[in-house]
Amino acid sequence: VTEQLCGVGIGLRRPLYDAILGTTRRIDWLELVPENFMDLGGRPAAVLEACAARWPIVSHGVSLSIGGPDPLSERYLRSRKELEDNVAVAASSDHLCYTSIHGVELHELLPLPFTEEALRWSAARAKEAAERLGRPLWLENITYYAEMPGTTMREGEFVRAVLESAECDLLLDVNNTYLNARNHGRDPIQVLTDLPLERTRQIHLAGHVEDEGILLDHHGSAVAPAVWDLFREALVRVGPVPVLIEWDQNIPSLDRVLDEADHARAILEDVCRARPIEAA
Amino acid sequence: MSQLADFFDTMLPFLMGNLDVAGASSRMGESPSGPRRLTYYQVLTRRERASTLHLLYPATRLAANRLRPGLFGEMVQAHLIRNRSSHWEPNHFGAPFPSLLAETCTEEALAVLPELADFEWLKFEVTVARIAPVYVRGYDHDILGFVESAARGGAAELPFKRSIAVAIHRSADQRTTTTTLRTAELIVLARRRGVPVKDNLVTEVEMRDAEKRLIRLGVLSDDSV
Repeated sequence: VTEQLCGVGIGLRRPLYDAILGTTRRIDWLELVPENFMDLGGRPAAVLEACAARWPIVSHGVSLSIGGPDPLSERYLRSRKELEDNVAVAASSDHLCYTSIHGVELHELLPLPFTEEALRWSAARAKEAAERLGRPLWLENITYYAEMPGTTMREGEFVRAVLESAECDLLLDVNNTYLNARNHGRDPIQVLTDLPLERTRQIHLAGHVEDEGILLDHHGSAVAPAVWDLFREALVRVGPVPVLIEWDQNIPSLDRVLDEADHARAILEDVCRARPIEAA
Repeated sequence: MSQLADFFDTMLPFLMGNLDVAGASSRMGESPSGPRRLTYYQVLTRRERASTLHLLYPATRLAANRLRPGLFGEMVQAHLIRNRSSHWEPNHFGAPFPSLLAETCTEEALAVLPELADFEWLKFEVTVARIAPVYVRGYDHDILGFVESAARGGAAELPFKRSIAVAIHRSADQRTTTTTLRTAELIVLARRRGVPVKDNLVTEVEMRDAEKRLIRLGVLSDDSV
């Protein structure tokens, strides 16, 4: 399915519905957050149907809670599969984290302790989720602002072990990689190359902000220059993969979002044309 | 109990603000990043849940803070203490907010707030429902202009006291819309729902016109004629 995907996509977000449907500018593909469309009708469903007729759609979930303690929700998986089947999504992904505990939805991508137990638990559930969704499931490296108690591994080791054990591929969030390096006093290139880059199937780019002395992944501004630089470094190592511009808060005009997508596309084309692809 | 299970059992009350970082650390060990960083997750989780209410209820927020600066924040705090989210779609967390305001805004001066919240929640429901509902509501305040102004980031006067009747529904192109209902239209809707109404309030011509208008605006469907 992923052969349909190339170039740079943007998020299908409510404030941009009309502008996306009306634009003549280049959009290579659209990303939806399935939770924003599952079991829903009305205008969101109508807009999605119209968009799916024009562009490839990828699904990027935020509530699967792959590492969480509760059994994977049958209702959630059924609704998500129904949506993804109906739209014929080109790819499906979620986050390597937990989002709920004992039935309480926390609506935050929360880091697991990087331990053997958490990796075995998460890997088994990722495998199960992919089977029940009926398609490969890519997992994203999240931002973590604190290492959790009990941690015994580096983030990169943990992500690699989970993906290898689950036979999953990586959705590489370059902004998260940059923030994790900066927030934990590490070198961004080292953090990047610690991840299982050879499994990268898609890249995410987003803006961040400083909050209480911490760099926060907030998806509410343009991509920072240092993240563009790291994006170039990532492309050198992973080669041409689809790229998403995430802009989910303080959403500006579609033209502004597409300017950012054009910039990403120019870098993608520049790096992947000019430089040989190095082994990750 | 496994270390991971113990971790989750500690993180839930910690993230909900019911356990402080010292208590959490004594149960599951300290974060290598230090207590301040761990506490940041309490901030983020609270902020995320609060932001759902801010986004769902912009007019209620504007009105509450006009009536008393900081009032909306107090209401949000009360909501966070009372409610936990159990649905993957975060907006569902905001569903009980109108009933919380109905229960707590007992002063006459605050009576407009439950009406605004009710209206904003119904608009959301109509926007996303798989099968479009039609809600008919009577309010004691003329809230429509204020809601529109709030959505545009405007600063209209607070709604004044005047009874209005509205239908909140979808138009033919699936957009959420609000229709102000006049007497004849209310009678048409009441009759359709089997509610007895005096027959000398409006003329038959007015009734037919009202029915046509409701169909044109999408409040009633053609096949209900």
